Amino acid sequence: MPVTNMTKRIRSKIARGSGELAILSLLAEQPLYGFEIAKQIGERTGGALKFTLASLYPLLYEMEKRGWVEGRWQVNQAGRDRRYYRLTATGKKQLTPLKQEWRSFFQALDSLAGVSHA
Amino acid sequence: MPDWKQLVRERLGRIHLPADTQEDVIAELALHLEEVSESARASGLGDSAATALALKEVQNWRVLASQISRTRSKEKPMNRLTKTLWLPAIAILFAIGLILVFLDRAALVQRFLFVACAALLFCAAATEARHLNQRTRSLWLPALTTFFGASLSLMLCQLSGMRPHILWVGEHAVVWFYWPWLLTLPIFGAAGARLSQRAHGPVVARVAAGLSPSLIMLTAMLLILPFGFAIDGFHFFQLVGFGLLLIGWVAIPALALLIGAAPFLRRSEPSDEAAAHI
Repeated sequence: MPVTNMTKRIRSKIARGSGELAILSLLAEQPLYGFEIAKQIGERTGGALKFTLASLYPLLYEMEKRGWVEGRWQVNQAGRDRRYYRLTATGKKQLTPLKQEWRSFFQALDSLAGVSHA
Repeated sequence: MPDWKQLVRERLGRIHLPADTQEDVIAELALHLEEVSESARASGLGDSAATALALKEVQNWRVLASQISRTRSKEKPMNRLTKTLWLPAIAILFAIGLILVFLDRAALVQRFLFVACAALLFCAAATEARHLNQRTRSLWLPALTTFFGASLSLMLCQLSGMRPHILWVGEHAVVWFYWPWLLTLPIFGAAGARLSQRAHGPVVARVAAGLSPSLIMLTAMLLILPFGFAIDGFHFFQLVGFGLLLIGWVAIPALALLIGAAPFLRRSEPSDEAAAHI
């Protein structure tokens, strides 16, 4: 079956929404820089969620523009300059409703198609 | 190992961001690619394979550059007041004015609508001032100021019943203009150039802002000329008439505007140029 534009748009919105949740959840634990964010998301989701440079930074910058995260240059443990992102107060406020939204989404899918997120 | 910073700079091409933000982005993306490549080498890949793997992180650099320009830009979406009040009001008044022009009715109302549109446009600009980009602040807004000021002044001259000064050669009127209007033009030329200078516009932008009424008139005349030839056929006298119109309505006003703009065309200090990017 061909992938329609509508399907592409829905997929893109789901990917974007899940990306936001993944990044906010990670940064709620500790400040991280771009490569670490991508690496940890890949490792902790068993590769189900994968960020490349092209998908990560536009999203990070968008979230920074909205005031959810804040990027700042810092020296990492290896003594190299990295732009670390940390969650802002606004970002923390976004995390709970976003988690709730996704929970409802999966529950709805589960009741409809037997797709459980657990 | 490639120079990642240089590679990112070349592939991203032109991104519409202040220089310091642009360098920030390039450095961050270059470090990311470097780390992807290092990580690949650490897992046993050779140099070229690791580099190729890092480059796979971006399929379309142009799309990435456009996304970054949008997301790192400090420009904010349009203000609600502008969207719901100023712009619809301008559109409605402009449309009514246009209909009246086509119907050739209510000349006084047409003029009132023109002034009201100008006033609303400035309200919109004032509302959006914080969100306007550098080009709008240094070129479009100053140019509009000069244009509307000069137009308003001409309108007042005509409304007050002032007669144009006409230069005659034999029996033919060759150039006609309003002296009092020409005398006001240096003020508007100065206003446009000064506004552009204050917004750290380059000299070209200041000249364009200061001379905008003449430039707009020139463009309009050049656009109309082919239609005149198409309708009436080509006559030498038409071309002469066009040249004289250019002198009366473009060249002489441009000179008057330039007199006003001249003091503000001095090149900015380097610190001023740098401040424009902050």
